[in-house]
Amino acid sequence: MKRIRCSSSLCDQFLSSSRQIVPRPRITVTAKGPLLTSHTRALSTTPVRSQYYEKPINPYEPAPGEPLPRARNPLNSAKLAALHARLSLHPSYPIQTLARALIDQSADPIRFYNNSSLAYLGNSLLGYYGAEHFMCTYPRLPTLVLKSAMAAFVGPRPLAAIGREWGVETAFEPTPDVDAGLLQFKRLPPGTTVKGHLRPARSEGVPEEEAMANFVRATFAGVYLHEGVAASRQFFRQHVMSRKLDVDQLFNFVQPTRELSRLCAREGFTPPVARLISETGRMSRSPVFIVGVYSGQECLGQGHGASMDEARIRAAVNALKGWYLYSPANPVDLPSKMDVDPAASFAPAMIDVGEVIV
Amino acid sequence: MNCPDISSRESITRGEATSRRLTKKLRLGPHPSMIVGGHGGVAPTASPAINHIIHNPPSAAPSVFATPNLFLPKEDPRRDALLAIGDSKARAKLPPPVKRPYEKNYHLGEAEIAEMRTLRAENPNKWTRGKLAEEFGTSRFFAGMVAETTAARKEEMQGRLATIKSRWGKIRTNARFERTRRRAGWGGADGQ
Amino acid sequence: MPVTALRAVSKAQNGVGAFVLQCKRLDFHYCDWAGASRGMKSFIAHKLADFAKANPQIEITVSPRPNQHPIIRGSYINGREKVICVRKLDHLQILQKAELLRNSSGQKLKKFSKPVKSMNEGVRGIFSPYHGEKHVI
Repeated sequence: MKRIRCSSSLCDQFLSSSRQIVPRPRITVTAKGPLLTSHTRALSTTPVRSQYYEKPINPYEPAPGEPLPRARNPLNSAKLAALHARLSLHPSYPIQTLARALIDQSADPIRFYNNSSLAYLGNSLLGYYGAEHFMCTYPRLPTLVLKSAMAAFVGPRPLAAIGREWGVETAFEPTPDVDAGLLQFKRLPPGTTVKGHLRPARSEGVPEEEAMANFVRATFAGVYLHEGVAASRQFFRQHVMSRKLDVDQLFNFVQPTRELSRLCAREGFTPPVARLISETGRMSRSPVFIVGVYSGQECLGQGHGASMDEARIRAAVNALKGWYLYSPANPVDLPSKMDVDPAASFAPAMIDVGEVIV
Repeated sequence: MNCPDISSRESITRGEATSRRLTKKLRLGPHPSMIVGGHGGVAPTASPAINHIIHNPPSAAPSVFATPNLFLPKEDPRRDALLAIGDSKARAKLPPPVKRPYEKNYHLGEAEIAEMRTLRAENPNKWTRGKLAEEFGTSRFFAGMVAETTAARKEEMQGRLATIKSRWGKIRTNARFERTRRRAGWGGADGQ
Repeated sequence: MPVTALRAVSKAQNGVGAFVLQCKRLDFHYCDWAGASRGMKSFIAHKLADFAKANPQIEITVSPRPNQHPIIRGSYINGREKVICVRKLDHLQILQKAELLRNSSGQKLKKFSKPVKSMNEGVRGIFSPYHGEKHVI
């Protein structure tokens, strides 16, 4: 890729003018200092970080004294401004943080300039909000299904999909002259194994999916840091929980009839009995049987099938799904509600004894 | 005279507009089950004064998200509401069971189980699962579970099964494979 | 063995929670010399700034395209592009075309034979003759 450099006089002129025009970032808390660094780095021509640590060798880094290309300045990127508006981020969310969220660890190994710390925070928050949502909505969900449901919303694949649906494009190579609004990461050579112990180190490169997921996590962390808890909860609801997932399609029972029978014994219900509700074409090529599982007078679940066995097993599966997918009638309060307002009233969630062990 | 009969002419004369015949008469009223207080298609004269619920379950397989009454916790408000509806309905006759229901009698003790194991170990070819089940009045599943056969017999039976399978043709092998695959999907993996 | 879980990925439903405008970039191309670009140049000079201000979620670029017809090129989140030639159009007509590109989803045009398309199943399920109250004739 051809590297484009501005002539130093032009760039100096630009930098001096932009210093006058550009307002100060609206961060006043000193504890949030590292978030500012992207801004500082883009605008200053002198290396400011050498006083903190030894500068590692980075082939993409301009030499000291050499001005950064104009494209790298977050305030000049039309893509970044458009992305900021597209996500309806609050004006208190600085463009510089969004620019930092787009720089992967493989593009810039220095943690003050890449999104690794933001992505770590974002991942914890996403996991927290996802877990509390499912544990309060479906208190009886088995552990494996709960994990699968969470992975369907806050795992790397859905997060990378969210990033692509936000219209984020990737830079071909993380050189300093690329637009600050592009996702910058080092690509793996084609054919590299990314699973298991053969996976190369992060500095060698990362898959696009991972880099994109980390960007989404980092953006989410930015919402939490700059806009607050209430805004991050809303952002989670709007961008993550608004997606569609059929939770009932995540179950795979190995011995459903046995599990249902164990459940009824555990809970003290009458042992389940499969009953034939209706049927058609028993002697034909395509029969249909409808079987219901009853505990006493109560029908627990119904199943259909081309054989009585199939219908009976499906009925047991549906009965078990009916148990595990119980959701409280009155909406329970999520624990993160108290993060917003500690004085608010709180209706605790139901806690179940756990899944059936067979 | 060759004059048409007046009475027959009247019978073919239609006094009804085509639009009425084809559209208005074909409009169906609401199903009786949807009319509050109505019976047999007779609409009530006035709307009910208080809030009401039309309980009209759909002609469809029940959704797994509608938790059965029995599975609702004691403190769930839906439990009482559903119990009230259930009580108002007459207890319907239950459909016939798929398999003949039986009582588990738990009549075998440690001594009997030990005897089953001894018999099985002495002569596994004679005391098969079926024989043991018949002798002790239990199920083949239970007999196989408590008194496992010897490793030598297991190996022999598996060898016999392998010989039988080796004689199967392409069609039968494939059919058995497909049947196993379909069976594995009933637990929810086939997405139905 | 107890219940195991199947893997799935949630599907996006744009507009159910947040709405993300599908048009991500509009490129305006004009020619300095040709008369067909007169309207486009007028649009860029007088209307484009307001249009850009009203639509901050769209990245807007302006570039010359000498000796060619003036065009507007819209790039969409699904990776597709839509190009409209605005030759000899006046600035108001060009504004209409830009709004058309902004409002477009980027999908290929297709005829919808069913008015409603949904990922959710019906509230009353799929009719089955084997369930519910049996109809007595």
